[in-house]
Amino acid sequence: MEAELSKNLIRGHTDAIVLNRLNQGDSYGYRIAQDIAAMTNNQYTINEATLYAVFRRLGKAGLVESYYGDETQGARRKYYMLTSAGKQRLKAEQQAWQFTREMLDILMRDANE
Amino acid sequence: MNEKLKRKIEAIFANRVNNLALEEFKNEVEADAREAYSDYQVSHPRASEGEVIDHVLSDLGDLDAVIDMIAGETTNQVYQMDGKISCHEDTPQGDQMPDVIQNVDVNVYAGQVFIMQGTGSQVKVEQVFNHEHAELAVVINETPQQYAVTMPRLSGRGLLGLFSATTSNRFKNVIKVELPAHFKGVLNLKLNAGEVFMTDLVLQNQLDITVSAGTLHVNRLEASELMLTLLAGRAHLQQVKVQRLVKGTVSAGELYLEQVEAKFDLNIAAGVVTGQRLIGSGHFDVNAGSLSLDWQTVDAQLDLTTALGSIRVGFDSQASYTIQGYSTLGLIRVLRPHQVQSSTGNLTAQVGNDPKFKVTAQTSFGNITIR
Repeated sequence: MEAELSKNLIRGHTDAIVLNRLNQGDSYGYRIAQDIAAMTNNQYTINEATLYAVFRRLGKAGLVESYYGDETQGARRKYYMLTSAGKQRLKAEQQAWQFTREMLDILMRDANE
Repeated sequence: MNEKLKRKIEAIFANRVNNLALEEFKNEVEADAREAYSDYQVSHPRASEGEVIDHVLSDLGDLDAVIDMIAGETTNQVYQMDGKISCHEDTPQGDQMPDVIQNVDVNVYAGQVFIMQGTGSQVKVEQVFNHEHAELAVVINETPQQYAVTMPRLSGRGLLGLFSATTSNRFKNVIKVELPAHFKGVLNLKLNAGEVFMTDLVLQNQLDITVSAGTLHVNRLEASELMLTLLAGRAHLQQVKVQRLVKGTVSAGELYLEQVEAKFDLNIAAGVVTGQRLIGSGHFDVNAGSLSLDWQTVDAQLDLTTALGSIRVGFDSQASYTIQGYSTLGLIRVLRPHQVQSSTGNLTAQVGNDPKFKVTAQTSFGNITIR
């Protein structure tokens, strides 16, 4: 059970996860989906359709911007990057998560430990 | 990109309102799917094509909700956060529609331009571009006879700024030109750089295209006549039907024709011309370039002439036709069972028993292959 992940809990933080991935460098749907699968050893995956919806939601909020890459073969790659507002939001999300984790650690701690 | 996968993705977007945002989204999905397909092939070399496609589509997930979201947005709403929008829609004077048929000129020097059918009765132009490149704002000049859309041609400091922006990968300049349904004027496109997509258009008049550089994609288009000048760059025409004549010259670059139906009159000075599943007939004159045509249906005479270049034509295996060949020092090869009726000086031959059309092949020094 200890390896079991509460996927619903993670799913509630998808926007923050995407912001954090983009904070490592500009990226795109397929690459982020692959990165998340690799980082979690395939224990948690996000499909690209979900990521496209997240990109649009973050874009409308002014947290990410998009631009086209230089690929010349086939359809052109669309990259996403964090805006300064996106970086601020990510920082706030990270602080909130830190607080949540500390509180959960306290609240879930076994009293006999 | 794998054609079956491409068709599957196109099917997902079929029967949707065609707007710039959806077209961009489809491109984004295709680019990701292409990489996913390639990665899975490498990691699972024994997987069949169908298995790879199924895996890619499964990982992609259900796009309907995103498509619905985008389709429900206007283009303006989609891009307001991304950059400036220059939107121009001309309006008729009072309730009167203009009596004079207006021609449309589109001159492209950079960025991406989408030309498509709109829902209104007037020409409409929208532009999305970076805030820091106001000098790229599209210029529209309108007279009763002409509606001219021009991307500014940059030089000096403006060009330097644009170069910096493009190399930093943050450059954006997208224009959408909407034409009325069954547009009656002449559409004149001059592509000097950048990329143009012409999609789902029915033109009742002539289409003039000049490509000096850049890339042109034409998909699902009908026109009464097409005048094409390819000086360099690439032009890709797919599912195009021209009622009368496709007349053009290729000086350099690449011209790719797929499922194009027309009577052709093409002069190829240099460059490469490739045709797949063509329907029609016509005259092809190759000076020093390369011409390769696969015909689905030939409905009249085909004339092939080359000085130094190479010509290769292919027909359906059941096709029956006659060949009249003339050669100075070149070579004419027929790679189908045929009956030689006369080979004294020139070649007269027949393929099949019931010829439906005639092929004349004339070469000075080049090679002509018929199969």
